[in-house]
Amino acid sequence: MDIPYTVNNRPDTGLYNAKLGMWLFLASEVMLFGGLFSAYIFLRLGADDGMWPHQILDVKPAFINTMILIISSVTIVQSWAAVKMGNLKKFKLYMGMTILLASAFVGIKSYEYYTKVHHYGLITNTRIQVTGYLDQDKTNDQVVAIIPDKHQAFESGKKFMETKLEAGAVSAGHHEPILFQRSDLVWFSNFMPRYNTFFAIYFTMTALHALHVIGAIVVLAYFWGPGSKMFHTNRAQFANRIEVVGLFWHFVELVWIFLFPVLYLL
Amino acid sequence: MASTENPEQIKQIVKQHWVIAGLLFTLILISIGIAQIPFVTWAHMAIGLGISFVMASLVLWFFMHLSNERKLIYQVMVFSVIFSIVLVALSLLAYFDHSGYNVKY
Repeated sequence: MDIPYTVNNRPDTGLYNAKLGMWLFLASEVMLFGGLFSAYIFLRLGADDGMWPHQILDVKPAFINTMILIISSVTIVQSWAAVKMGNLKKFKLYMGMTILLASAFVGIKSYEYYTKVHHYGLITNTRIQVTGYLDQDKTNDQVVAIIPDKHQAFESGKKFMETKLEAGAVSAGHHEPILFQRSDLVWFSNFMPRYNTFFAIYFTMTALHALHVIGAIVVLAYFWGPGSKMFHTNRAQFANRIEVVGLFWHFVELVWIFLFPVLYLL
Repeated sequence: MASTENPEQIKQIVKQHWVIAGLLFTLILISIGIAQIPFVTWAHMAIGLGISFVMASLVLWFFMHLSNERKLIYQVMVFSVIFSIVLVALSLLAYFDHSGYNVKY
């Protein structure tokens, strides 16, 4: 039995079925991410003064990822246009570019996660937060040696660094580790979700978004590879399929447009 | 991506997408620039989210062709957007309801 309305529009909805299905799915996605953004606002407003990190994330990789998504939104449209014009070679080229760009996005995101795993922060029993990278040679069971970040993400960390600089304990020109007794620390962890609510919501939102990108890569790769056989058998339906996956890809970009400023800039 | 068969129209759509991509690129640069200016937090949030809403509108209107869609799609999207706004509003209400008591969540 053939699936109805894969090419022509249904008379009652005025849309072909796949398109209506995708928009309904996207509506559920809006609510899913809406809930997470709502949670973000709740956590941010409720954070104590100076406890919410400000511009702690590196903007450069996120900016590159934003560019990647914007460019890939155009390449996917070009792949759809190539199908409409009956040019399979161009379709493969532009769809291949879209897949590569999407993979680059995931690669850069993975690099960002990797840097978080190796980035540490601590809170002393005097409520001072210092962030930086561990000096592995000087860190042991009793002592944590941390090479502080130039730009401390927490207000208390900045004040602590100024005090240390005044006391001559830290050389401004060199990144020398500051030693903390483990017994003086109330919290010590790398920048994983357990570190604080910011990283919990950061990983939740970006990982969910990255899963969408990975899902899209699988579908795009199918259309680039075995799925492209339909180009010869039913080009109109194939064009509709590309249009629908394009809608999903644009939505992935749409979510990132909000994630980027909220997590990296504000 | 609109439903069209006209080659000229298809070329026009692709061209339009490049123009919108350029606009998005410019707006992203403006967002980054504004983030470096030492405004108060609420002003940063308002301007940053304002730019994001403009960018999202461009994506929805031109990339996802909401400008040329059926009424049914608008109804579905309006419902989901209202749902999300209510969710955010509930969070804000909960926060402001307790702020007088100096309760922090």
